[in-house]
Amino acid sequence: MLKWITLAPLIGAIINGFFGKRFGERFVSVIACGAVAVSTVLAFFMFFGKPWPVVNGKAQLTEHFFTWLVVGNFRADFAYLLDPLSGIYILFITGVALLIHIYATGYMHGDPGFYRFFAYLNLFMFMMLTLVLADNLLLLFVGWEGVGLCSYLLIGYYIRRKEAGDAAKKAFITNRVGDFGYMIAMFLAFTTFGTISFVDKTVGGETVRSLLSQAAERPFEAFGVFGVMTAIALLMFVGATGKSAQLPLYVWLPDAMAGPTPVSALIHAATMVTAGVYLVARCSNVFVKSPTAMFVVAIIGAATALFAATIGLAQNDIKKVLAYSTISQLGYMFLACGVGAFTAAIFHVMTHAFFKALLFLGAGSVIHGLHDEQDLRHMGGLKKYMPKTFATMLTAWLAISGIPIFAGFFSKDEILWRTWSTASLPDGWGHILWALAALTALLTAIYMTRLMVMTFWGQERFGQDRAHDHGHDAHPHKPHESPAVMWLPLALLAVLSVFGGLVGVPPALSSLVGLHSENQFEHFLEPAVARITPGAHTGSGPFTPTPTEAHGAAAASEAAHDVSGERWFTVISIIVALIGLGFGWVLFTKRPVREMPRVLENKYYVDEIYDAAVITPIEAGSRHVLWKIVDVKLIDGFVNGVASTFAFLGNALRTTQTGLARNYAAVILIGAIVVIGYFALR
Amino acid sequence: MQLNELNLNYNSIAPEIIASITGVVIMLVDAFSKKGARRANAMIALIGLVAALGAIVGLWAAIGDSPSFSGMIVIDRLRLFFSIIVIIAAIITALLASQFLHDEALPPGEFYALLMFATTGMLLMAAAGDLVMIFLGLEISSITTYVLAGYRRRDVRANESSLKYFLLGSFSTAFLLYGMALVYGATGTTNLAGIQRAVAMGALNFPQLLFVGAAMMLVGFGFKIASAPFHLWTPDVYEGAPTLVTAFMATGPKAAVFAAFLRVFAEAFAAPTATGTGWQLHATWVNALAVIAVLTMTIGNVIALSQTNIKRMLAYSSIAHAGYALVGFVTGNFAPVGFYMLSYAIMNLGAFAVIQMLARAGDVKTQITDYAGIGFEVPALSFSLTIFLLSLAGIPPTAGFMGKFFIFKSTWEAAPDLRWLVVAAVINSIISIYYYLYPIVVMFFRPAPQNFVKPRVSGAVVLALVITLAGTFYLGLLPNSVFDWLGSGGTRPRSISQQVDR
Amino acid sequence: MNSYIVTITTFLPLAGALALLLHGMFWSRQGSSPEKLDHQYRWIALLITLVTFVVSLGIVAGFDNSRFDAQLTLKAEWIRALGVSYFVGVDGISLWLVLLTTFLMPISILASWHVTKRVREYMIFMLVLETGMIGVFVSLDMFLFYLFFEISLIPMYFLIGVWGGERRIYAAVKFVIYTVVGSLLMLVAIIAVYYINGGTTFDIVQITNSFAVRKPDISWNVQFLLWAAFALAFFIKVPLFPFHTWLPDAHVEAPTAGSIILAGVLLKMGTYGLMRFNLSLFPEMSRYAAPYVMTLAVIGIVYGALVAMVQPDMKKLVAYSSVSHLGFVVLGIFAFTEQSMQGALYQMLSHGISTGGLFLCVGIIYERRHTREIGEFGGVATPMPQYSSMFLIVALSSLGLPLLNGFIGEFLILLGTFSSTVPYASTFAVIGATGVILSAVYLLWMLQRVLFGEATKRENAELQDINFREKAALVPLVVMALVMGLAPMIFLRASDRAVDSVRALVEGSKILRVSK
Repeated sequence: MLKWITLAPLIGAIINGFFGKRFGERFVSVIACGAVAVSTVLAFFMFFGKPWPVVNGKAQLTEHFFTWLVVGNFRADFAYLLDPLSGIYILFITGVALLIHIYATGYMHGDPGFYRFFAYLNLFMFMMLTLVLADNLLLLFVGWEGVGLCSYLLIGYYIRRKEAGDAAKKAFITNRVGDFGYMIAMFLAFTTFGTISFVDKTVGGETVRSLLSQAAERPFEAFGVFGVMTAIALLMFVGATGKSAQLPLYVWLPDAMAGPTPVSALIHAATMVTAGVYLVARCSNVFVKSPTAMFVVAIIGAATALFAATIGLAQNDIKKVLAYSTISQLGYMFLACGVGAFTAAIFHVMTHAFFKALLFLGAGSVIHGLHDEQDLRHMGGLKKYMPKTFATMLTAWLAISGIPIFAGFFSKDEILWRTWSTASLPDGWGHILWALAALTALLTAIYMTRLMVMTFWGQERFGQDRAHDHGHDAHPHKPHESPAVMWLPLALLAVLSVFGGLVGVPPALSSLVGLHSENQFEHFLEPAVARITPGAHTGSGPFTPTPTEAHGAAAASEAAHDVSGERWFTVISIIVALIGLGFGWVLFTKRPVREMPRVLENKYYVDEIYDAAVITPIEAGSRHVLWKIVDVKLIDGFVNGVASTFAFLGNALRTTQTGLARNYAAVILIGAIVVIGYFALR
Repeated sequence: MQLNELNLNYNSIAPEIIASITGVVIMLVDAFSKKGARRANAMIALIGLVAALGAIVGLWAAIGDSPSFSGMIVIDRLRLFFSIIVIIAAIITALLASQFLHDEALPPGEFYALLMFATTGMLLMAAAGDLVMIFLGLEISSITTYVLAGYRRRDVRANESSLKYFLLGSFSTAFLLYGMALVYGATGTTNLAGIQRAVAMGALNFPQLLFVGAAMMLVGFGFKIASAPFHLWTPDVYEGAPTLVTAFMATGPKAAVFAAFLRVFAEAFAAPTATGTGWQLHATWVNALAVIAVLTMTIGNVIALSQTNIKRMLAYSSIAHAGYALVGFVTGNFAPVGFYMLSYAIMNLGAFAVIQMLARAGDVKTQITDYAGIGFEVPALSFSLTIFLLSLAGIPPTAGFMGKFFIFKSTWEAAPDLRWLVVAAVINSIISIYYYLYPIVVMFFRPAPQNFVKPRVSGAVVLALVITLAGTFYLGLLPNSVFDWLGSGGTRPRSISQQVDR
Repeated sequence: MNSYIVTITTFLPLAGALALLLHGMFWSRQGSSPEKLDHQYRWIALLITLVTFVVSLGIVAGFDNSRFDAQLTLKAEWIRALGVSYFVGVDGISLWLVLLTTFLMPISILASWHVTKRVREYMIFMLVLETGMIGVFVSLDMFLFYLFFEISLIPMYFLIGVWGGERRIYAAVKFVIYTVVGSLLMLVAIIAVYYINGGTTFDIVQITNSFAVRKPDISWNVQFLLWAAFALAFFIKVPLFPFHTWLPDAHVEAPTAGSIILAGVLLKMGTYGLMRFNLSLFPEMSRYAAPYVMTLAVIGIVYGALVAMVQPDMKKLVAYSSVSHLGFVVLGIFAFTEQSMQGALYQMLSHGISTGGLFLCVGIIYERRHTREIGEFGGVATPMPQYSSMFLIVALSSLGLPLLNGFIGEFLILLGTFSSTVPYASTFAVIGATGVILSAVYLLWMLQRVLFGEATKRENAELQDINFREKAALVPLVVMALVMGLAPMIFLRASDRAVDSVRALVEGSKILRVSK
């Protein structure tokens, strides 16, 4: 059953890949969306339906597809695991993806590579679902690299655009750097636990307990202690920074916007980029063993969040703004992981999927309406031309800014509070990071407001047409609202961005309106992830990660929460959001197009620095030292040298061949004397 | 001395008799037939040689019979095997000769006659059980070869070649003869069996004489097999002489001399015990030969690297090959040397046969560059030459490889303290690959020439090529029977002493 | 039948070569135009190689996965005097290499369809080459092994020398000399081993067993020399850094098919030999040398990749990538863990598929544009979509994308090496893993510059997409890449026992103290 969730899109991909070209757009759209619809239905059925009663949080559903790789004591199957974590993922992945597919049929209409696009998109779905459903690290890696491939293909979708190709290459290679860490982590995990599986397996007769449960029993590695768990955790996190575009490997994501907008929405906002968070959550049992790793994760997360937000302030390409905002939001998620609030992280992953997908699709709709205009400076006053798009994006804007009731509010607020009240970091750090996060929240509100204002309000700056990708004719058009096939998905996503957050209302707030006092989402997810306990980073203190006790422990620590404190902090974050909105509004309604700090506009020159510090030296060294000197001069020089030496010897000895009989006789005589001498004297 | 002690067993010299008579017949026929009865002569010669071959094969049954003519002639595997090599060389030469004589318009009679007499001499050398007989055979073959070398009378190079060969040859023969005299002085006999006994028992008048004598004989033989530093004559002579004569000189006489060389050193000067003069002598010549072998291989190969004339190149290669043979020589066992000389003879004759065709009348095209791009113009010849060269280089599955392999193997086994010789030989073969590949490169990898006239190839030559090619692969792939002739490939031939003592 | 199938597979191509030879000698005289004859030759060659492939499938059919020793053997007396026997058969290690050879051969013939110069001779050399290569893998007699090892040299020499590019002569000679340097020293070692074992037989199986049972009492130094003699021959063949410089030249100059065979099969002779001789005969020495060999291997991985990255010539790029990939193989072999060695074997196969495919792809556009300069291309994907997607898949399989063949090998090798007991093994694995990054760099960079972007040059914009013949050559490789990536167990099960027996041999041996 589970396997069909993944296989449906794969089949779709194959059909479209081979026959799509022949049968045209309608056929392709039906196949592609149908395939995703199938897995969506199946996913919901699996989640809410009979086979897996969700109420029983402990339930794990495994399904063995086929035995993939068994060598010696190593085993990795093509097998799937459904538990709360992967359950939530498949739900929002399939859901959001379905909407985006439908949207894309409108957006990509008339594109020569229509069939290719949807084949890739379906293939991506297969890989992404394999990633989240994988029951072992290697299969997860398959999906991990697989989504990377699809991202590569889709970023470079416009094969004739050079920058698209470059962006695609950059994305793949940067991810490979992360994957390097992932692979080493896998090796280390295997040598440590003798398995890389998330569930118990039988290898060569005897049963090997799952990596997670083994990890849970490992001793604690106090802060600053670099034990094996710390190593594994950090290496995994390296992989995560690649896939989820965190410092220092985030550089590929902004460029990835060269792909079609639906791709940016699906892959580079809603799903793929959150795989890193998934990995951390999935292996939370490993992470919580190492406060050091947790600390690093939190710091990187917070830093990225702030860093990207500042850049986002100054970008003029609507998609670039959203890209940096995505990076920033991903930073939040890692911050949450770092402070041990894995559930909050996943919660934010989900809500973010809703409103960020919406933002991108909205942006796409705008771009579409303006005939491939992406520059905010050439927009403005669009709300009267495309009201539906405007309305839907409005909700997303408020959601991401953290206005109450909207989805983003709950998740972000949760993260902020958990950061402040964290137990996993050295004392004081929680507050510092909270400050950073709050500041980021402020900036987020500002740059999103900027984006909205520059797009929908103010005077109309569009009309200056430029060259297009799909070769539209160049005379100026009036902007137009997108067709229903595009705005309907927007509407649905808008609904989710408004109410999606309500599944995870913390008791501190729900109690205000006198509702049951449990965070549904957290409660549901708790069993699947590890939990941190006070004083953890010191290495002391009891620890209860295994799903079994976790449930009870959840409730316990729930109570431990300082309710009033939490409420106060909620108030603070609301204020922050409002300040941001107001400030942005004032600032950009007065002068939408204003000079932004150069350093921000140029993204702190990070690409340039990487180029000068890493890429150029390596290339130059390889060319001028390794190839031109070591290979050609040294090795070949030696080889040819030997040859020429012999040739030289030959010519030298040749001179003994004078051609004169008397010389020969003389030589013979000498030789004879030597021989006779030797015999005589011996 | 009673007559019956002489043991005048004429069967034992049947091959030699046949060969010499054939020579005489040819002269007579030539004298009484009108000018240029080339075919007739060739026919007679071939018939004679085949008959001689038959006689040799016939003698196989007689292996082990006591030496005849009071120990002058012995009948053993060594003799017969080398006799076969000699005959093969002669046959191939005879086959090549007819076209050569025709193209060059040279008198056929003398040529075949000389060829037959040379063969006789070489057969005697192989059969000799006595120093005197060795010398006799050597002289007969040498003098005839001198003449053959200069057979192209009007060609200056040929004359030079012939003269050099003659002068230096006699010079070195003097060493040989003097050496023999000294050995006789030391042991009191010229009979090899006697010498062996004397050496073994240490019954010597003046031991020092023996050693000096041995040394001088070594020099003499060393010259004839073209081993360094007595090799200098080879390139000039080989280059100057008519190609097929070169082919003959490089194979037949060399094989015959090796036979005698083995007889004297590997058998007469062998060490039955691990002490005493005999052992000392053995140790001495083994070490001397080891050094000479390395010298010969290295000089031959290294100088060959820088040759532009294919005949000269093959001259140096033949020097190198003498070196390889010497590596086998130190085992004191004739089998590896014998096998090697056989395969060497076949592939070398083949190579020279092709070159004779490509070089045309008067050996005008002997520069390697002359063969640029002819590979696919005359594929049969070129590929044959390629195979012979690869065989000389020791690439399987050819005679050359098998020969080398057998030598390496035997030496590795028989002379543990001389294993470095094998390594040296291997390193040399690596060097040699380079120059053996060179003509192939030129023939096949260079662009084809504009106006290339295909050489006329007579049926006889084709036959010669077929024989040599077949031989090359036969020895390389299915040498079982040959190893059997050698006495199941490896057992030493029953020594003369045993035969006499019966 | 079973005992003959290996022999048949081996000599079928040779028979075909003879057939072609005679065909050319006798039937070609009568009438028919040279073009038609050439076409006949092509078809005959293709047919023979296909039949050979089918026959070789029989070997798989008759193969018993549960056995670790040689199967389908045929032993016949050959050269009594030298203790040489004709002894052939396959075990888990050689089985798939034989199949790889027979599989790549028809593809190479298809890739040679455009050859117009001396087609008959070309095909004859190809067929002789096939016999030589199969022979190397199936020989169970050292003498026989050496024989084939050398024989396979000559046809390749001619293929490069006659049908190669501008600097073909230098490349061809370099190729031969390099190889011969190693192989002749190996010959000495073979003779030495023969006598150490009692001077009775060259039978590899017997010698290996008797060596394993009663350790031959030879001094450490002698053992080292013998090991080194074998190792050198194979290191050069692999080629392991720093013995690799013959490879780029040979590849660049060789015709497409030559490159496919060279990279696909000839190089594997080296890695195969390492497993068959160095590890099996001298386990202690191999253990002792492992860290040093692995060092070279790792250098090769990184070095090869870095140099490949900056090559302006596509073939040279792929050639250097082979240095990198074969480095992985050697790394795996000398890590002595089940995963690493199985991975090494698997990497041998998948490298044959992927690199074969890469050379094929390079050859295809070379035929159209007569240049391999990366700078000459760009935007090829627009006129040649099918070609580009194939090229992409092949490249991805080569850079080790999961679910394609390349990944399995690299992953197993690195995993096994990481968990190996050899000193510094895990460090080597970590360094080696950077090769995974770099392979993505140079391959994607090449694709980017060749396939994508705007077709700036007119001649690129007007390129013809691949025709049926080229598809027929490419598709099998692509399919194979997928199969090997999805269902590796098909192959690994068969090789499991044999590889593990070698590993056990090495693991069982204790490292001797270096005795002065």
